[in-house]
Amino acid sequence: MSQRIMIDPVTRIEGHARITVQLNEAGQVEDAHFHVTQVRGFEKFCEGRPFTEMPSLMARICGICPVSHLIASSKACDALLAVSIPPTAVNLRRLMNLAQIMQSHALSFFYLSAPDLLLGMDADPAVRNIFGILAQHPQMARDGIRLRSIGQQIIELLGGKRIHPAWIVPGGVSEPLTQEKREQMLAMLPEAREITLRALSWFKEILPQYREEIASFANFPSLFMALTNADHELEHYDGTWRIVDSDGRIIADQLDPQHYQEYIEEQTENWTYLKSPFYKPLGKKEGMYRVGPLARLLVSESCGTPEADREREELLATYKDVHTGSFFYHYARLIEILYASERMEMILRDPDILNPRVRAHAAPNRLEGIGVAEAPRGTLIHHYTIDEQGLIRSANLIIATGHNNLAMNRGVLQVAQRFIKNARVTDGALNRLEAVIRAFDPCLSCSTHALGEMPMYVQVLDRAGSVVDERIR
Amino acid sequence: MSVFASGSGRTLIIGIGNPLRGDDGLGWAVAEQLAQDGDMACEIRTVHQLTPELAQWVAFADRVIMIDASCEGVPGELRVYQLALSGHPVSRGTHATTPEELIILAEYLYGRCAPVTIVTMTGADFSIGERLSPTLASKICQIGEVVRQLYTNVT
Repeated sequence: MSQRIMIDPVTRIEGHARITVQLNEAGQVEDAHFHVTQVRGFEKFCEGRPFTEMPSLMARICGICPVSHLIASSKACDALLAVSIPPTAVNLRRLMNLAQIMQSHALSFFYLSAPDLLLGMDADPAVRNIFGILAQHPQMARDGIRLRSIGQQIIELLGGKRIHPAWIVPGGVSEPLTQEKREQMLAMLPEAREITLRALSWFKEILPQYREEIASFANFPSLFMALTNADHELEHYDGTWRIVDSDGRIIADQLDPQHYQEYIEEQTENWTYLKSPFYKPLGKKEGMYRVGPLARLLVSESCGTPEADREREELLATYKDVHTGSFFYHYARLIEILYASERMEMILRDPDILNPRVRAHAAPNRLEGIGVAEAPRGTLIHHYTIDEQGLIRSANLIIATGHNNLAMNRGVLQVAQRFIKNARVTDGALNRLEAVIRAFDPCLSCSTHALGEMPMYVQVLDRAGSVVDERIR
Repeated sequence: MSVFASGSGRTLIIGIGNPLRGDDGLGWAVAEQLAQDGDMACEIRTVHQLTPELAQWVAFADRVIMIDASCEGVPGELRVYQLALSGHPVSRGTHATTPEELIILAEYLYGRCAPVTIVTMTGADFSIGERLSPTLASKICQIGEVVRQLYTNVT
C-alpha cells in the first residue's frame, strides 16, 4: 500500500509552505513535493495603478527584501521613461542593494540556519533557534544581530527607514548622499567584515561534520544562472545573464535580460502557487537551473574584491561538490556578505558618490519596461506594460525563489529518500526536509506574493488517503 | 556601539504596530506625535514588530518605553506596566520577538538591560486601513502625556 507524508508548514523560512512525501507500497520514498500554499495577487491588483506607484507597491511584497523589488521595479520604470539614470544614482542603488544582501544573508545564516549548524540537525526543536544559539554561542548570536543591524542601518541611512524605504524611484533616487552619512556607513563596514570573516572561519571548521547533508541536500547536476558584468565578475545590479552547468561549461552567455521570455519558460503546477521556470532551449528536465548566491559565485569568474575572491577560490578548490551541492549556499552567502562589505566601501570611497545629480525626470516614453537585478536569493524580474495614460495594463514578476522551485523539489525528494526510513518521520528527518529548503533561503512571500507564518505538519498517507503517521510542530 | 544620535539622551521610545491595520498603528501615531512635539531629548523609533536586533537598543538605553495597541480589554483601556526580567525565552520565530524575549536577549548578549515600561491601549478596530478608530484617535494626546510623564520621572 503506498503512503504519503506531508509536512505543513515548513518552518524558519520566509512564507508559508508544506511538503508531501509519497511512499510506494514497499514503504520507500517514491516522490516528494514542496507546495507553496498561499497567493497574494500583486500582479493583478496593481493593474490600473499609475506606473509611478509601482516601486512602492511592489516593495510591499516583502519585508525582508523590499529593496530588491524597489530596484527591479524602478529599473522597469526607468525603461518606461526611456531614460539613462545618472551614474551616481546607479551606485547609490547598488549600495542599498548590497546593504540588503548583507542583512538578508545575515538573517538567513545566523537566525534561520545557524541553529541547525551550531546545535545539530537532530537537536531538540525547542532549542534549535536564535535563543538556543544565545545560550550556547553568545558571540555568534551577537555577531548575527550586529551584522544584520549594520545592513539595516545602511539602508536606513540611505532611504530614511529600514523597511520599505521610498528613496529608490523611477529615474534614480530621491535624495543625494551626504558626507556625514557616508562617514557613518564607512565606519561600520570594518566591523561587518570582521564578523563575516569570523563566521567564515567557524563555518569552514564545522563543514566537514556535514558530509551527509552535503551529499544529500539538493546535490545533483543542474544549470546555474546569474548576472555577470562585462568582466564576468559578480554582479548584482546590471549586466547580462550567464548560464553554466555543473561541469562548469558555459551553456549560454551574455543573455539580455530584456528578452527573458526567449530564455525562460514559466510552468505552473496544480499543486503549488509557486511557478516553475526553466531554461526554455533545453526543456523542463534538462533546463532546471538554480539561482542565488551559490549560482552567482559559480557563474562569475571572480568577485572583483580581494577578500571575497580569496574565499571564493578556497571554496572552489576545497570542495568538488560545490558545483552540485546546495548545502554550499550557506558558504556562498557568507562570501557574498564579505563581498558586499568590500564593494560598499569601494563605492563609498568614490568621490562622485556625493554628486547631487541623482535623478532623471521624464514622462513615459515607452509602453513596456523590464527591470532585472540580483536579489539576495537570485535573479529578480519585473515586467510591466502601461497604457497611454501611464496606467499599468499588466505586470509579470519572476522571483528568485521561483527560479529555484524545480531544484528545491528535487532536493526535498533526495533528502526524503535518504532520511525517511520505514515510513516514519523522525525529528531529524523532519528537520532535514526543512533544512534542505532553508539552504535555498526561499522567500515565499515574494515568490507567490504570499502572506502568513509557517508552522509544520507532516502526514504519512496510504494510497487511499488514510493517515498512517502524523507529526505537527 | 551606540544607536543613539548625539544629543538625543538615552531614553528610547518605541512605537510598535502596523499603521496599515487600523488601531494597530496606535504606537506609530503616538511616537510620531511625540517626535513632532520635539520636547523630549530622547530617541524615538517606530517598528512593525520587535526583532532581535532591537536588543542592542534596549541594552544601551537608560530607559525604554514601548507603546503598542492591545486587543485585550475594553477599547480605550489604558495599561502601563513595568516589564520584569524572568526565565528563559522560547523563540516563536524570526518575525516576532516579545518584549520579554527582547530584554532577556539584551541581558544575555550585552550584560545589561534598561528598565522597560510598556504603555498599551486596547484597540477597537484592527481591520485594514490607515486610520485609527475614533476611540483611539482621540487618545493620542493622552497617551503622549503618559509617556511624557514617564520620561520626566526619570530625567
